[in-house]
Amino acid sequence: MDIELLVLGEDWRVRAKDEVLSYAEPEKGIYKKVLIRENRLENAILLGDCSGAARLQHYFERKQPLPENRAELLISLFNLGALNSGLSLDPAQELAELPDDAQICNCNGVTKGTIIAAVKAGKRSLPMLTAATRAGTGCGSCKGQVQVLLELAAGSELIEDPSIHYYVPGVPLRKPELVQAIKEQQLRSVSAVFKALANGKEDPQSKAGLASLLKIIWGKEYEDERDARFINDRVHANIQNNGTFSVVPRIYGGITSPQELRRIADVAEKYQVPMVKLTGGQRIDLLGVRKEHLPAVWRELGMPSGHAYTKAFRTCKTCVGSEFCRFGLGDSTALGVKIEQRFQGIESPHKLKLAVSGCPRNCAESTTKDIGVVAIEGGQWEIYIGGAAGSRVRKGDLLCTVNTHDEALQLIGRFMQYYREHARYQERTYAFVERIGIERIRQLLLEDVEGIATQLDQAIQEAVDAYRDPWQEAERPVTANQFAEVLAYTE
Amino acid sequence: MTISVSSGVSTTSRTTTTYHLGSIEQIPPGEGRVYMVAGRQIAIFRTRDDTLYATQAHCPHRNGPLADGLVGLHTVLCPLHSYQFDLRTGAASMPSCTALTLYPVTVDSSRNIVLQLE
Repeated sequence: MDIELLVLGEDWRVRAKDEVLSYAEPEKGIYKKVLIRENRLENAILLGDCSGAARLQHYFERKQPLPENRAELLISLFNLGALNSGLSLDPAQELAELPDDAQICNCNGVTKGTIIAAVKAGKRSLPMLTAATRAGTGCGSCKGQVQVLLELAAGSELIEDPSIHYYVPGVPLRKPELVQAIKEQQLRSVSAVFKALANGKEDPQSKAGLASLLKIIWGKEYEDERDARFINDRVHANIQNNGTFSVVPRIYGGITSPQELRRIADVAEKYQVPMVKLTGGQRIDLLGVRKEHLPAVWRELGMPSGHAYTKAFRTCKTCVGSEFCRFGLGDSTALGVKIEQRFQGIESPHKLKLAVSGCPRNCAESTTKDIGVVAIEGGQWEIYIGGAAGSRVRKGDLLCTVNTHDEALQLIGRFMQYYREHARYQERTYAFVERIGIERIRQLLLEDVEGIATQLDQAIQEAVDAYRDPWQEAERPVTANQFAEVLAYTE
Repeated sequence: MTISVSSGVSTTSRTTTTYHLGSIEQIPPGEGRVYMVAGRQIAIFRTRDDTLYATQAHCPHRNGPLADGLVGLHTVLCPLHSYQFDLRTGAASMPSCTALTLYPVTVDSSRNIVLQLE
């Protein structure tokens, strides 16, 4: 379930003459409160229902005078469109009321006025509009608002761009039809797909998505063309804002050793790594490594890739669980290490972040992971799917409760494979689980109503068996000058 | 690390100098590589049909290394923020971004890269 929350301002101390308006519906988990000082919005909190957030944010940032009738302000925090209240309060009207200098896209700093002007200048489809203004191209959470502004400004001249439904923009097919065509025509490489299904027009924005799909469809039979990969997947490291790379070796379950730490420290010193940072996934990140140093860094670390640069299984965070914790109910570290050993490097439509917690105190934050496991009393393990704590916050849905590590590994793999086969490119599990519905996912994966469970288990096993550590390319580069920075011309 | 690619012959015509940069196979199909030529970094792209394009090495937006970008039929995407450029004209798809500087580049009959710089 989603938890909506907006907090504006920090200091809630009430001074003389301040006004505080509040509204609570404890049964529904809704709470709203605003603090008004000298007719300006000083603080606000919206919990459980963020209707009116855009308006409040605007009043807060601009410090504009509030409506004189305070009841109107309070009512504007609810979506009462259906009640025909006479107040213009649906999201479209709320956006319509915003002034032109209101910032819509907080990643790229794009205002309502810029978006409207672009629509008036002819960018009357969503892809054209986002490409021209960059609104919605960062974290993507404002895309809905950009769409509403487009509809408002374009009116009947709106251009429905069918490409927003395609799996990738450069091949005019939705995912199911694309998968069918790829299988029927035996298309095993990205260039073969462009030739057969896009009139030979190679679209750089479509390459990585097609590569991901083909690898999932064909496994070992996939014809890997390295130019179809994003740079991170060509050099197995994450590109940084100055063209250097970050290196995150795999630390299974977040458990390391003095010897490993010493090696990491030696490498960091030898290659003058500008920043050594602990990551949120319980690993160590070496930031600012030069591309041409990558093979030597990997070799000297002597650890496998942590895949912190790609759309794949990333990491499995753990708490210490029953090994040391006095509250631990289950061996969370052992399960976390098993999960990471089994699923390392498995590619998927988007990244997968996992966690295992040893008791319901949930110190590994399992309920906001793509897949999270929580030990409960009685030797059991709860499996949550579709959690998130990034640009969106979502509590995962409980898939099931199991009795053993092996059962947990099997169901995690089964869900992972279902996600790999059916999610849209770059669709995180939180969106995927919501789209399919937890009830339907339980029917498919637990009750096996369509008889696909065995096939999913086999397919994920094949992907597990096909794992190879990409950092072995330090010894065997795959393309010409794979890790070269600059080729010198000599007279 | 620098890799020596060729001991090319340079010929001069007025202000333009021709540089022979060695085999096209130094660049994998559909990718780009950076060459240091006469003190300048030049990104050279080889499309899957073996057409070559040469541009400035860094993106005008935030200095992204263009040779690391994804290449299409005649476009490149900067790897940092996905700004897209037409390799035939240098034009950016974002109106606010300046165009890339282009340099004439061809493949000769021995499949060597021939670059011209002023």
